[in-house]
Amino acid sequence: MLSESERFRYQRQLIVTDWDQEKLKCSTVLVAGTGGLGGVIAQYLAAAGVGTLRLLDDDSVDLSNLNRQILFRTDDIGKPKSILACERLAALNPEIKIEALVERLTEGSASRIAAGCDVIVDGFDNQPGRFLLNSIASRMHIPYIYGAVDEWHGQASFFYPPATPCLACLVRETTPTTRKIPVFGAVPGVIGSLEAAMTIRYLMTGETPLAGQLLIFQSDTMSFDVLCFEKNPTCQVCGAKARAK
Amino acid sequence: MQITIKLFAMLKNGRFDSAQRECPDNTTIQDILNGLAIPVSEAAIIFVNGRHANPEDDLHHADTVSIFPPIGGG
Repeated sequence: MLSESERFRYQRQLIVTDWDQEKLKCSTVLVAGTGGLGGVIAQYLAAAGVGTLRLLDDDSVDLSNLNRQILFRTDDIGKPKSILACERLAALNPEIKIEALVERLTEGSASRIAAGCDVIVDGFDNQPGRFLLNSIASRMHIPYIYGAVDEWHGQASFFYPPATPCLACLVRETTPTTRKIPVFGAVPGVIGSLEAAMTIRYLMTGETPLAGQLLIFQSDTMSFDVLCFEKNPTCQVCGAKARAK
Repeated sequence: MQITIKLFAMLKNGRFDSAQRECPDNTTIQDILNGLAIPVSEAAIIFVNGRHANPEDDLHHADTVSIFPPIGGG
């Protein structure tokens, strides 16, 4: 049941076709990472009224983060990101519950961190973290909304095996890069916004528009493309053998 | 046969965005990677005609190959 204050706060979205604020209010979302992608994702999910946000980040703010991580300010340097994000988003929307986790996602901590989540949203900044997130989401049978950026390029997709392929069906796991990944704020801004929109749509309708599809955004040519991919039957994460374990 | 190659993100630096190449029959995606000096470890995602593919797959006339490096940032 929405309070009078909630009805007023959300009045412009309550008139959106298919909108279901009650469903959002009852939902719990894990935002993995609160940086360039995660900060945008968390901000839009908080503003929209997702009932419980769990913000995971073990990192602290660095001056070199501020070209893209729009939740943070220069006087935040050295402070833990997830706690700062929690404070900023609580000020934006005190009607929702926000939990800050200052820790690293590991195989050991995953069950506790993702417990009770309806969706896991990817705000990570590294490939090994994404493969771990994919594996955990598949094992715990939680939908995983994927996003990643590099230079002028961004990608997004939706993984929910066994109904859909997973990240490991799509991307060959390669040696983690040691190079500094080039990134400027607008690209994670776009991809993070798409992830937030996908999360909200999925929570309210159960629709999965990017299942089995990879959305490609190229900000240098201002192009969006959608490419198809299928399940890998021998996938180490979501293939039949992996699920039988 | 004629193949269109599209490179994405860092892979196009020093190469090209999109190019057409004449290739002998039985050319595989791995042959294309070798010709462009792209290690298979740098081809994290490959599509042919908008559908997911693997390095060992054969190519056919008028195919479009799209190659993406690992995209890790956030």
